Amino acid sequence: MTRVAVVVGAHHAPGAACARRLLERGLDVALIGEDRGDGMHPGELLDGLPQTAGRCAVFPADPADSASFATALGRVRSTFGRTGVLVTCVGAGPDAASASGDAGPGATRAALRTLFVAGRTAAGDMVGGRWGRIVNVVAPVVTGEDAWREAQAVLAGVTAFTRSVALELAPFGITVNCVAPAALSPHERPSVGPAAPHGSGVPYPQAAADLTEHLVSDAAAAVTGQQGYVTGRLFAAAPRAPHATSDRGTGVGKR
Amino acid sequence: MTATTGAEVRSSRSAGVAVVTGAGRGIGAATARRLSAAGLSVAVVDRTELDTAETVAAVTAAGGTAVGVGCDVALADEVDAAVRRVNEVLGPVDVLVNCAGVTRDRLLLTMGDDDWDTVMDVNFGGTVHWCRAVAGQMKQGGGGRIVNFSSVAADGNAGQANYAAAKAAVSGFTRTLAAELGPYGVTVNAVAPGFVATPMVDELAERLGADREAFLAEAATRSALGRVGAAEEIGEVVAFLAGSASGYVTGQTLVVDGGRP
Repeated sequence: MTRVAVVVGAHHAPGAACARRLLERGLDVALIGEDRGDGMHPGELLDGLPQTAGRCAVFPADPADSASFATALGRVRSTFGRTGVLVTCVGAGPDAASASGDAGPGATRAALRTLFVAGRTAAGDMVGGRWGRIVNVVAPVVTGEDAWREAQAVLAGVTAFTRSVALELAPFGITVNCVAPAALSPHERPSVGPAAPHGSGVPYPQAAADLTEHLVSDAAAAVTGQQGYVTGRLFAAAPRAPHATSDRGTGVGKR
Repeated sequence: MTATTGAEVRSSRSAGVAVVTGAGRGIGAATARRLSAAGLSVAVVDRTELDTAETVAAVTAAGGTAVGVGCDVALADEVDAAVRRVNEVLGPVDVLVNCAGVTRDRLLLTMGDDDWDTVMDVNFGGTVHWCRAVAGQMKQGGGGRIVNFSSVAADGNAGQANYAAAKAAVSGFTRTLAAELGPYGVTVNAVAPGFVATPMVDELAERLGADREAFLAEAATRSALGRVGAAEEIGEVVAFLAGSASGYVTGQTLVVDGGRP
């Protein structure tokens, strides 16, 4: 396993949980995302982790923009080294495509474009090393009864993208999998899904991090193209966003 | 009836109004003809009005009513304008079939931004734009039928990460919209065709430098029925989902691929 992980979408709670878990396992974690200015400092992710934890830094970029993401990944390479692990966490929010909405297909379009840009760019880095792990994580951004309904387009798109890319990248030793809340599964009846407590008492972000930790390990070398539904509790509170440090990504936090 | 475009269109036996996007050729054209045979007046939508001419002519030659409408489904403004035109000429929309689709097959590492955006914006965005544009009038009219087009590629396919994601998103969106519009008597379903002999497949074979007949023969081996599908067979399934016999079916994606061998 390489020691460099890129996490996109750490402003979502599952993304942040995955980043913290990878740090805890000693990987250097680069957070690539837009500078929201209202959230988490890498130091907060590292807070309470052991001395063996990896380094962490934020690299501001628009992860749905090819040039912006490529620039950020280049800076990750010069700071930490070549990317071996990519965790992309995308929100499953409303397209408002439906009867009441007027926003169009924006949410799904943005989420899937982020997967595409991040996946293509990072995979280019991984191919040379003949090893890589890509995990696409779905984060519900709508709670309550609407969560299932609003997540369906993104969830389906994430799954199809994951399966397709897994087939393409397997010859290079790169696995591609995705993680999503069981309560959002298409096979789940909405009436017993997001509105009710689901599965274990473990919050979904933690459950997603548990599975992601396994999927990026050497032990999961034979697992690719799969969709892991985890039965964690969906979170209710709005997650905090990662915050770019004043050194714009050149500073590296270390516990 | 010799209806062509605009105010010239007259209907003598309409059982409602259907819009079929991507109806200039292939599955869309077959669907338009089939819905016309079922008595619906049909708005034949394709990139340009010229692209719709052949289908409009076929429908009207068979005694149906059709209007050709040029529209880039990826652009919300054009879709809104197209709906206004359909309403003016034919009336409120009872049936919407979102068949417009494109492919830009590339492996991920060589796929350009434009390959991704075009496929996403036409296949998924176009479906969303049209559904949003007609959902209000279907609610107001007390019901309706929406049939979207997914694909068996939505299960994942190497070289089609863009198309697979877009078509899967259509299936997911279909489930969402079915839940939202169900209370208003509107059913929303999707059809996922397998390998169907259409001009789009012909173009694919040409791009790959493959002999068309050999290409189709190879594809036939991947069907339990041992053959590729015909556009008319997809049109029949759409007609079922657009008709009264499917009134209790919604939120589904119906795979029409000749079965797995």
